[in-house]
Amino acid sequence: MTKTTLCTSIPLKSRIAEARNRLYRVALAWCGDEMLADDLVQETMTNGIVNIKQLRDESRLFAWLYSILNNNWRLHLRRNKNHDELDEQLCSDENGPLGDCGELEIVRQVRSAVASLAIEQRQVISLVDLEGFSYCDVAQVLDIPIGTVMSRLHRARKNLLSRLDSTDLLSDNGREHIRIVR
Amino acid sequence: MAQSDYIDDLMLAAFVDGQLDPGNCESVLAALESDSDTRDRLYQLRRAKDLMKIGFEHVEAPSHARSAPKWGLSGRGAGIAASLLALTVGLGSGVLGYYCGERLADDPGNPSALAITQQPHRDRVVLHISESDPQQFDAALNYIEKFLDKNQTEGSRIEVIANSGGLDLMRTDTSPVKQRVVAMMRMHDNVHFIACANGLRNLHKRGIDAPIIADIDTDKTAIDHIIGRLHAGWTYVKVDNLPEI
Repeated sequence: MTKTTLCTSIPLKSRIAEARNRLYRVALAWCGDEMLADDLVQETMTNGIVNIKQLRDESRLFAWLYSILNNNWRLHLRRNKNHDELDEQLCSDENGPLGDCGELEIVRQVRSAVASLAIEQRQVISLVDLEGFSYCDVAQVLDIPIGTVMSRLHRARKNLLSRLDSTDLLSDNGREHIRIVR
Repeated sequence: MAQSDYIDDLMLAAFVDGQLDPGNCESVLAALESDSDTRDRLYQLRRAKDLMKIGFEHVEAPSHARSAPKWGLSGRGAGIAASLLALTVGLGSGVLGYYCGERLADDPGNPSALAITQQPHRDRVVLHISESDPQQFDAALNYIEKFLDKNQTEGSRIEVIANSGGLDLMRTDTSPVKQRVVAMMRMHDNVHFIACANGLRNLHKRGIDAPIIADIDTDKTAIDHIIGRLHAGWTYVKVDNLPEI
């Protein structure tokens, strides 16, 4: 390894390690399972460090890492032939990873609503709203056209609000018809 | 607004996400000034963005020992509360005030409790219940009794706010502890029960007439009230995760 390569690769590897929390947050939003999210992130970081030489533009490190995360997530889904069943389970299992959190109710409800979105919508809304990626970056990370990014994002937000507004905590409607008895 | 000036949702989203070129930004800004429908749609987009942040912003990867990552309402809880507060400020003051924040502090002695302010009032507690579970009802009332026993100073207060299934605690037709609730309210001026107005309305929409025990407050919504109390320095406690008292 040349001196130049060494000088470049060490900080990059550090940056990959530092990205762990960011990757984990998005992985959790995608899969809804803390253990699986951790596994995906571990795999992604390992892939990133091992294949660091494939990164041609250092400024695109994070987009590159999310591309790897996406590949690993897709690989996981392919390995699980009952892909749809997994999704259904994540949406409905109240005692699962989304249900056993002791956090504020609203956090649980947001996560539950996100888990109920289609996988493609979950991915786009997470990358834009949690990571602040541009539409162009998201298109590259997920390998889809920008127009698709925009339409999926629009549907994701609409569905998210619709699900959350149907809950008691966030609905913001009138207060009529309340009967008080002694 | 003329049909030709209509800003569609995708363009509005691009504006919110900082993806729009300057020319189109000007068009959106002009529409926002003149059209309330555009403002409403923009508000909903920002709301969705903020809710996403509230849901995931404070996530931390678990340690490799894989201790069960519990969402205790300590440091991260305080952060969540900050996000909630920002959202609420947004609700109240519109787009311009959307990102206003507040200073927060943990309650290190009480990892299951959360309060906003540097020094939360330990003798002012808002107790939140959202599940229809008789064991939780008992736990809530037991907690109140212990609280009253430990906090006999003037000014100490405890409020129970119920939404969703937790409303069963306060319904005359479903509460297994109705008499206890009534007795508690009669005996203690500093114990207050609140049934979430939205929760009651949702029950009504489902055709369920939910008679509420007399003197229980039914005018407030759970989330608004909790945030208001957090802002005032109260300690938030969830019934399914009661701290030691």
